[in-house]
Formats: sequence, structure tokens, C-alpha cells
Amino acid sequence: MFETIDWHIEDGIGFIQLNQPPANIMSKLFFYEIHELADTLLSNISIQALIISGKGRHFSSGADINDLLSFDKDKPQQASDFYLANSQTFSRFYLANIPVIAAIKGVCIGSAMELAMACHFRIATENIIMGFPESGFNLMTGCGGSVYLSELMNKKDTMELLLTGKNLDAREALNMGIVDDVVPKSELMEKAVSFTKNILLHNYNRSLKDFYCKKFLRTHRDD
Amino acid sequence: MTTPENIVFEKHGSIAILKISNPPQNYLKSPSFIPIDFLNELSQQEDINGILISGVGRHFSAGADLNNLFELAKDSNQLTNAMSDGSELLEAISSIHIPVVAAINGVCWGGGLEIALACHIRIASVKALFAFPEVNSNLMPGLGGIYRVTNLTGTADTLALLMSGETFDAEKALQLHIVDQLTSENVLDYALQYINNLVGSKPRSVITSIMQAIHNAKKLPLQEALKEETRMFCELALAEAALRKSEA
Repeated sequence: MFETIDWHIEDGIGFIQLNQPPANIMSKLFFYEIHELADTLLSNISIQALIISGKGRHFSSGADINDLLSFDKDKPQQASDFYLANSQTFSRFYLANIPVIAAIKGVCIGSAMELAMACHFRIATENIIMGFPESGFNLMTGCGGSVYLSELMNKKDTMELLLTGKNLDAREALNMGIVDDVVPKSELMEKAVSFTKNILLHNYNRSLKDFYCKKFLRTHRDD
Repeated sequence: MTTPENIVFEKHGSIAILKISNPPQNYLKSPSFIPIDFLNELSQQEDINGILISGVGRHFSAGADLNNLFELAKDSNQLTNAMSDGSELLEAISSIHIPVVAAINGVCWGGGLEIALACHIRIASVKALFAFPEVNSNLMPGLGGIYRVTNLTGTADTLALLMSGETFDAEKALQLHIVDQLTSENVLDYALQYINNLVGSKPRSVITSIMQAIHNAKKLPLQEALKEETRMFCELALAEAALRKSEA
């Protein structure tokens, strides 16, 4: 059992729900727990896909700025190890051998957007707000956001998003290619599940080809 | 810092503007339109957050001055050295850690287009004209332009542009992703405002870290790119935490 995350397995799909409403803020405890949960779920061979979502009205508002800056500055190594571990955790979803889908509603900013970008697909509702506000706090992404973004977006859009910290709505995110589908709010989980089942059931479904193409590109980017 | 020949250099706040200057068409007298040392010096200046590259007057640049090029070609070493310097300069521009935006008006051909392609973002006037005319002189682009345009638009379109030497308009350049944005306003004013919004008032350490991360994403293996991103994040976070403590 985790304090900050709910999870269960149904029909071969692992459901991960960020559970610190209203904003599902990513606390230090969350990062420890998601790390452990990734271990558990990604080593479970009965799981064929993962869906990550947030409880309540929002996906997540990401890490708390004061939390981010509250490390013991006499122990910079400790802080850097913590952040490196967080980045590694998110990258495990990115590198997973099963499709990982983010089901996004409401706010999805900062580290939360990094987690969503580490997923292979993003299904969003019409009311989402996505963005990387880090630069406004004199910071930058630290959990792979710049890397995952560069894979999906052109340089201009990537630079604008990271340097200005501007927000995107559902339409903009769809046009820029960083969300794969926009669905009504009341149907988010239902659509995310049917999207996922589609990937798993139909061998020649476009989504599956997308998934393998993405996997292929990922595997070969380091050659 | 002395301004090199064939360049008009201006500073607007934290933005450096480099205008290729050999009017009217701003032919390039040498494969390096500025010395690489000038660029390196410029990029190290703490009060510069971004660079805008444009042309003096109505045009960006019509590309290489062929007479100069064939003059250089009388000595193969001289030509090879000049070309590799030019190529090195453009690679330095594309990997620089502050944003470089091309503001393209009028003609942007050959070597001029290769300069624009080395920039991170290209903004063009709706009246701008583009071409790789090298084939008409039995030549080819030699400053990395082929590689950069292929990354933007794919092999098939690149091949068609290179083999035909055709002139294409701004709308087509946008469709091919060779330019990022069009404007019917004065392109220099528009691009200056654009780059100011992007980085005008941001701390330089934030700008350079983010730009480095964006470059790393394309150049480094995944795990290294991730580690570097976290390392730069930690540096910024430590500095910000110290700043907040001293202000408290």
C-alpha cells in the first residue's frame, strides 16, 4: 500500500493513479513510492500495459517548488542522487517493454508533464493545461522533460515551451503532436482503457504500429 | 570586440543582431560570413541572451560569390580550408547555448540558406524566396546544409530541391518545415520581438542550461542526456536555493 498512489490490475492492465488530491502534488514520498511501484509493476509479467492518471480533477501539478529547493545544501550529493533517481524512475516507463499510456485531465505541469511525456501515449481531456513553468522559477526540467519533448516536437516549439514556460491547452497540445487524442472529460478513463485494449488486441492497429515505431526509434537512437 | 568586415553588428538590449552586409544581395565573400572567434566571443558575453541573424537591406543573402569561390578553388588547400572553416562556423552556430534566430527577408539562397539552416529557429517574411541553386553551377551545398535540411524535411523533398535548384516561396518553405514561422510585418522587428519574448529578460544560466539540454537530447545517448539534464537542474536549484536564503 502506498500513501500517495493508488494502483490495481484489471484485465492485464496496471492502473496507476496519483492520489494526493486536489493537485496530486509530487512530494518526496511520491517519488519514493512511484519508484517502488515501477519496480513492482514492470516486473509483473501478467501486466500487458500501464495507464497512469490522477485522482480528482487534475493529473498533477508536479513537484512543489519549495520542496525542490528545501534540500540540505550542505549535502548536494544527496540532492543530486535523489533527482537522478527520480529521472531514472520516469525513464523506466519510457523504456518499458509494454505500452504506457497517460490519461490526462486538468493540470499537468512541471514534473507531472515530464511523467506524462515519458509515457508512450497521452490521452487528454478538453480542459487540460500542460506546460513547463520551471524557467519562471529560474529552474529547468530535471526528470527527462527536455529529452522526451525534443523527440516529439520541433526545435522551435521545444525552445518556446522550455524557455518561456507558456501553457498549452488541449488543441495546441494535439496540434504539436504531444497528445494523441482529446476526449470528453467524463469519458477519459473509458477512452484510455479502450485505446489501450485496442493496442493490445489488434495487431495491425495504427496505435500498435506507432508503439513499435516509437520503440524502434528509441532502441536505435543510441546506435 | 571588433566587428568583422561584411557584417553590421547591433545590440538591442540583451539581443545581438548580426546582419550580413554586402548589399544589395549580400553575396558571401567567403564561406565563413564571420570569423569563428567572433562568434565564440559573442556567445561568452554575459549580457547577451540571444542572437538574431539577418541581412542588410532587402535580402538575407543570395549565397556564395562564385567569382570569389572559383578564385579560392585555384588552390585546392585554400578552398578546402575555407570550406571547412565555414562548415565549422555553422556547426558552432547550431550548437551554441543561447538561441539563434534567423530573420529572413528577400532572397535566401545557397550559402545564405545554409546559414539560416544552422540557426535554431527561422522566421521569414511572406515574400522571402529560397533555393539551393548550386546545381546550376555544377556544385552542391558544402556547409552542412544538406544534412540540416534533410533533418527538417526528409530525403525526398531534399533531393528534389537540390537536383532542381528551383526557387521556392515562403509558403512552401513553411510547408517543408524549412522555416518555422512567416510574418507579413517587417521580419527583423517581428523576429526581434519574438526572441525578446523567448529570452530577453531570463537569467542567462537558465537559458544556457535549457539550450544545452535541448542540444544534448539530439546528440547524446539517452542515459547521458538524462544525467546531464538532472546535473544542470541541480546546479540551478542549488543557486536558486542559495539566492532565496540570502534574500530571506
